[in-house]
Amino acid sequence: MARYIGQRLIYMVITLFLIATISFILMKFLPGTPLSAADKLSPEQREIILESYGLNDPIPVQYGKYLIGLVQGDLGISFQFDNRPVTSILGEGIPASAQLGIQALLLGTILGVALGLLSAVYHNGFTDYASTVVAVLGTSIPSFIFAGVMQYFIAVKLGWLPVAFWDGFEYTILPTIALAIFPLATCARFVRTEMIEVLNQDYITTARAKGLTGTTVVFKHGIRNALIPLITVLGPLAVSLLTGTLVIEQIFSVPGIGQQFVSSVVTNDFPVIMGTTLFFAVVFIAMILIIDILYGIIDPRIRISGGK
Amino acid sequence: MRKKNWLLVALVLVLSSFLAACSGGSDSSGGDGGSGSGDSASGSANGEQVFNLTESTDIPSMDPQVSTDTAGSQWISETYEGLYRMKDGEISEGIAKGEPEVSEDALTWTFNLRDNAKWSNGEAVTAHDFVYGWQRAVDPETKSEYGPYMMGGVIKNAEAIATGEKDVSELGVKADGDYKLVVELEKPVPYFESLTAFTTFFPVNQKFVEEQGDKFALEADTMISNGPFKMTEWNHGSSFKFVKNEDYWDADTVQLEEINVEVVKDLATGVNLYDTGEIDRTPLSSEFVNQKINDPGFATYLEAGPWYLKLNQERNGEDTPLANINARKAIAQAIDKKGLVDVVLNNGSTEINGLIPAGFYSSEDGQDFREASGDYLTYDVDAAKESWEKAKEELGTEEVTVEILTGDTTTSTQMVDYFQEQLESNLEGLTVKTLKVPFQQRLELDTAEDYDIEVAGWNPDYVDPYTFLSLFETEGENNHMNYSSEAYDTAVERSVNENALDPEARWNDALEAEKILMEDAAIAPIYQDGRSYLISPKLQNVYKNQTGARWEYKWAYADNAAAENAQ
Repeated sequence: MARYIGQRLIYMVITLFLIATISFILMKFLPGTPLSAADKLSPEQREIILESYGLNDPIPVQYGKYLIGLVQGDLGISFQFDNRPVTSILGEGIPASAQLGIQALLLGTILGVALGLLSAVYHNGFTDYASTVVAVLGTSIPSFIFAGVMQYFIAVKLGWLPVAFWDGFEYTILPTIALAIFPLATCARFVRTEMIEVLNQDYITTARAKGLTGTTVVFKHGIRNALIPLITVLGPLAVSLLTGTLVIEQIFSVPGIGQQFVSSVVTNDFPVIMGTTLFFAVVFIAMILIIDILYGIIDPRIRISGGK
Repeated sequence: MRKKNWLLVALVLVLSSFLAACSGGSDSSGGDGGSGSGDSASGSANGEQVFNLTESTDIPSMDPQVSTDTAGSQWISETYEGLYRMKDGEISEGIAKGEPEVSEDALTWTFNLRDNAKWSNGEAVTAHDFVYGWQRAVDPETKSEYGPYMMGGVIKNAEAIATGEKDVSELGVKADGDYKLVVELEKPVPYFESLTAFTTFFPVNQKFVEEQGDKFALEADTMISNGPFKMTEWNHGSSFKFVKNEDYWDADTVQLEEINVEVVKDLATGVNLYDTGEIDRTPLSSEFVNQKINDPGFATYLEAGPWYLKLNQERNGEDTPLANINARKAIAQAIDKKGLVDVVLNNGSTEINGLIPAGFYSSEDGQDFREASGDYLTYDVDAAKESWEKAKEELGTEEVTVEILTGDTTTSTQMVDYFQEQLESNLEGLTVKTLKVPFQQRLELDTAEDYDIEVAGWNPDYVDPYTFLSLFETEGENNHMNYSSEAYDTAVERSVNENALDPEARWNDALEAEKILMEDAAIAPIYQDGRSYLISPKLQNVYKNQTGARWEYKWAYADNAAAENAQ
């Protein structure tokens, strides 16, 4: 197992290096300069400033400098926020984004799994139809619409929760729910399908034939097997939360990195674009690794290559 | 898979259209400033002297010499003070006492500074602080964009210093003792006082800046103030707070104790926050205008931002159809501007029939420039058709195709579709293609002069028609449309050279220049930018400016009783 993880870590570094390289090249194709008053400067003045930022160096030189900085943990200085190091911009945004993402993932999967199980157990009953409606609405209506509606009815009309900002737990509730809707619906649909399939398996019939009660069959034999495939979707779900936060953070004025990412692209703030891209990449790759490891632990039938 | 899918789909469609209607859009074109008016002389300060406001972005920089954007300009102007301060579009006293002494050739300006101005760390504000600040603005080391832009060609040697040819010590600004500032200009600059109210020209304390080094102005505790307020909190990306600066020389005038600013990017969120009373002002997009137009806090303001079509006469070395003056006239007169501002924009914008916006500049005797200059290139389908027939004859073709370049925001997209429809239906044989690109790309295509027609606008940097007129001089940095008129260039240059010291002659030069530009149909004026807001009656005496800080809070106060009565 240790060897396997070691191997995977090496691949991770290689992947990151490739992502850094490709994003760097793509970014250089973005039209325009990071200058905010480019339209007001004469071409000579523009050149002088670009020169002083090192943006007139040949791209391989810029790339080399960037990699050297990266290895030393230096992500550069933002253009958009003059003189501010990218690491401190990311550092300020990550806590809020991470809290929001984790809360939403927990809420979404726990409720989603519960809902999915209920539908499967009461297959074709009222509960099943009700939860299917929730699931279909949850996957088809974009989260920003839920966010807007909740903000209007729950915060403005009823006054139960704050409209926006990030000043304590009650401020996190609405954005968490808005962000959790999609994983909730996805999990519910997924678990329902899996569970129905599992409940039709021969060993379940056997268990029932042996005289076990319905609850024991469901909890002891059903759930465990139905949940294994769920781990596969958790990775992509967690990643979809990363992108979901871009909009949700904006609507609830959450000071996270999602909204930072958008504004850095619009303003050609190269160092911040690179920093956020790499951060998202690290989260994504780490997520995949964790899921692969979990697989091996939960389902002994799956052997990880290299593991003994 | 499921039988009742269609029912769900229908339900979702109905629900989402309803939701879309109430959540509204968040077009980002608005929300970054605007102008308020201190329209009420009645009422008085009562209750807590606190304003709760929003910005659509975090402040990119609180460094006066580095800042380039509206949020920075707004809050630097409240925490610092230059030689003068803008009040309701007029110049008012700042660190300089009274009017400057101007030499006969108008090249040397001497400012007497007040000796009771202090930084928030207790040190005196002196002429040396101005000298250091201005040198810093053009020093290539500072990497300031506005330094070379605002000072180049204005202050002696600024351009040469910015390009590294001369040392900063050669900049035409000197301290004569602690309280006298002597400025040498490259050429007479009639609007120089209004320039000094702009952040690039603010003083900074050399000792403090050098002590802080790279950290200067990055946090609330790495800056000092000499203005009415000082920054006490800066939570990057989410909020900032200003409190009254007791060390300010005119602190007795300042009634407001505290200004809290939250970053709110989404306009719908802003409206919800306003409705729950958490914030005192929020910008509105056109979707919200109809919904909120009867709200007691609804207000619209006209900005000094003209929008027009740039008609490029030469693209990639070849004449475009727009090199023909009749084609330009036809296009300029074939668009129903009123329909655009009332239906498509619906945010307080008004049609404009000239370059210089209304309410921006007035003559010595108080006449508004727009009014004095009159209407050019008004919407007139018959005239447009007539010009168009002539143009086709002169061009020797029946079919003409032009491309309109524009931004990719919702408003830009709707606007350009409107132009396309208007032009194609009013001008027979004209095919209009549209190209919608992100801002940075539009800028590149503009600089490369690689477009036929471009939807463009301009915000003024100082209160003088020259800020707009200089755009379209043959050598103008922003011409980029191959317009060249000797008569125009002469009139514009005369207003800042021979006639620089003669207000009446300058006024006539500007009128003449605009007339030439319009008679040449060099650009097609479309509309003057307007902004709509919800503003709590609590906000009193907030002045409006067209340049620099859009809102001025030095004289403002909170009338909490008025806010309660309104509810």
